[in-house]
Amino acid sequence: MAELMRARVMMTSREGVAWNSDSSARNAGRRGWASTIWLVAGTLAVALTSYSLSLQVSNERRETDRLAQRNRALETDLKALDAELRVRMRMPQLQRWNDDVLGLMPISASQYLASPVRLADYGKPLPGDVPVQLPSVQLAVRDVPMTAAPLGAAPKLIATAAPSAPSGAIARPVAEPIAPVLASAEAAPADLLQQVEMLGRAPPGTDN
Amino acid sequence: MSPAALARTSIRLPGHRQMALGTARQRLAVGILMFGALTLLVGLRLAELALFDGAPRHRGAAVASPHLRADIVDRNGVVMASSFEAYGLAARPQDILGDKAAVVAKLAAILPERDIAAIRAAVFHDGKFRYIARRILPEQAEAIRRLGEPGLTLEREAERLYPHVGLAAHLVGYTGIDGRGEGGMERAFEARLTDPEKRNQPLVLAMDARVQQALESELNDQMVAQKAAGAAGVVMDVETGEVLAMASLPAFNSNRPGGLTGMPSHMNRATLGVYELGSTFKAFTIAMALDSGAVTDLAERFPTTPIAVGRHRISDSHPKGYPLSVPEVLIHSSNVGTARMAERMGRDTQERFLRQLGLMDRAPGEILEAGRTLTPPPHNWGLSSVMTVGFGHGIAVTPLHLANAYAALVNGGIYRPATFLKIAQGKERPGRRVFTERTSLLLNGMLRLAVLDGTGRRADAEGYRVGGKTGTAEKVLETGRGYDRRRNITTFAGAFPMDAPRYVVVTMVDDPSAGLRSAGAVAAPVFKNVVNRIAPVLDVAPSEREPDVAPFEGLYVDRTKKPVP
Repeated sequence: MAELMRARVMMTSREGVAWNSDSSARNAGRRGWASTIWLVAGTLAVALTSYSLSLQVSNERRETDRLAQRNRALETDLKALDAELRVRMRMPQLQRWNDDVLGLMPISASQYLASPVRLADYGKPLPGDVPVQLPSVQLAVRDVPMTAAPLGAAPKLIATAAPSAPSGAIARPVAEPIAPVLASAEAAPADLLQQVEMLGRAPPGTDN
Repeated sequence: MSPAALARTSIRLPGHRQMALGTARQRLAVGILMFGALTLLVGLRLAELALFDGAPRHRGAAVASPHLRADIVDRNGVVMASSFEAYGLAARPQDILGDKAAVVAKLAAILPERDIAAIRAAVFHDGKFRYIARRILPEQAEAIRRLGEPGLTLEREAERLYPHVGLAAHLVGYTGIDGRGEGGMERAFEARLTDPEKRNQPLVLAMDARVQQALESELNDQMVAQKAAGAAGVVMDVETGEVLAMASLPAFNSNRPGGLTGMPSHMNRATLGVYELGSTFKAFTIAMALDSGAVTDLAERFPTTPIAVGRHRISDSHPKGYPLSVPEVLIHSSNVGTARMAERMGRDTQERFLRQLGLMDRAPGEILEAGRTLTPPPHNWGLSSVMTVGFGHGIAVTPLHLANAYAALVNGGIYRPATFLKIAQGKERPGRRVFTERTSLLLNGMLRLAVLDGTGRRADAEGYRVGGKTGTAEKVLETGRGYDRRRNITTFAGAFPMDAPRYVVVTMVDDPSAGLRSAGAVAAPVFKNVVNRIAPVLDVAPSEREPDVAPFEGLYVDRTKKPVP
């Protein structure tokens, strides 16, 4: 009997051990699942965040691409407009306008003053024997009455100004005309008259 | 539950479950690792994009259009040639689905500037493919695309625009229908202009559009007035060798070059056409004689009586009747005087100097249309040739050759080959010495006197101290044997300001046929007008400071001095 009892106790104790081990395994399994769920949830969260970030990046990129495309289109438009402007103000065209209407002439040597002091002193007689330097300012611009001279029939100029951007030489102290002065036949530039005359007569000498 | 069953369960269950759990965990771990790795990868890529990738790479216009070429600009950035996207429209008649007449009508409405007959011919023709129009605008291309006709093909191509139309047509060049450069700089720099790496950097020329315009318009006016066959001109910086302007007339519209390249208007008279430029060579002969020691004394007098050499007879056009001093030989353009100087220095010296001045080589510069000079053949370069070359006959060079050699003559004696590209400051080329500084200085004085007192009086632009030499040469007969006495090539080669020369200008009018036909009356006034126009642009101020003519005191009759009453 005692034997049996011992055996039963042993059995019970063994059973207890078995029960104990089963519950701990179940606990461990539950912990495992929990951590797995956490891991999956975490991964999903990170993946979703990353995906949304990636989406945002791609959106930004698309936007930049669109902007770049628009920039390119604008650049092309700008270039086309610039080209149109350049074609309209092309050198031969400016020359034609000048020949027909404006009649600007290159600055002549006599229109240069030696120094700014001379410019400030312009017109005043200088003391002593220094000759007065009087640039012929009225010769810079020719003013043709439009009714008298139609565009096509404007007289041909001997020399016309190069339509040009301002250069260093032009920025020199030069007596610029204050206002265009009506140039009658008598007031025509001496240089012009001289050249017209020269065109009509035989040259002073020939060469070989 | 029986104890036996209990025992069985308690023995079997833990192992099985643990094994299953272990496997599940293993798989889960692998899965998580994979997720983790993937997430890490995405994260890293995001970080890379955000931190290291910079601005998004977008396709540039150049990539979009493989035919675009780099711009060509002048030295101040003025655009001379520029490319635009355009389309070529072609028809594949067999693939046209709708009514062809309706397609023609629609195309004519979209392309009003095109000939409707040409459109109809292209749409109705029997072949597989035919161009209807090249270089149509993007808006028109879009309208055609909207027609949705599969038989119409739009091809992207580039349109080359020359805003200044015909200005510097020969220098800048033009492109053919396939977009390749076919002349001038467009042809010479084909590889550079189409290089994708350099497509955004314009090719900067040495040319100044303002100077070019002045030169072209003045030459054109004279060409029309003189009813001449053509004209050419060069403006060159004497110190750097940069060509600021180069004109060849008649010119053509670069935007619609048309025709064949063999047409007279397409011939570059400044770099390809070789001409006997006559008396302009006398300055070289005198410089050679002084430099080589053949003539040591400026006061030495050369008789002007005609010389007979072989079959030739050399005489002066306007004989003075008395022996001329060295400066007078240039001032009065004496053929006999220069021939005697050439005779004295001999063939070897003459050939050596001509070679050093680049007058025996092809035209300098980058342009491929470079003419080869015509010189006496080596086996027949005898005394007669030496003498005629001495005054510029029997040798044919391009106006660019002449300008380049004059630059070497007046700049202190240093030859630098002409270049059409802008030279950056501080990158000037050293060049090679041809004449001594003294010779150059003496020649500057003599060239000034030739304008003040000699044949080039009409070239004297007031205040700009012009110096130069006229050259009138008879044209060679069409048969190639002998000269035509009625047809001349008139040239003026000179520089300004002669007290410190900065620019060389060469003007040439080919076969003037109205009025006087001498260089003094035809080419010299063009020179004067050009100098008057370009000097302010090039920052040359007028002055009364003349070059040093003291060494020639008493050696010439100064006709500019007023007689003392």
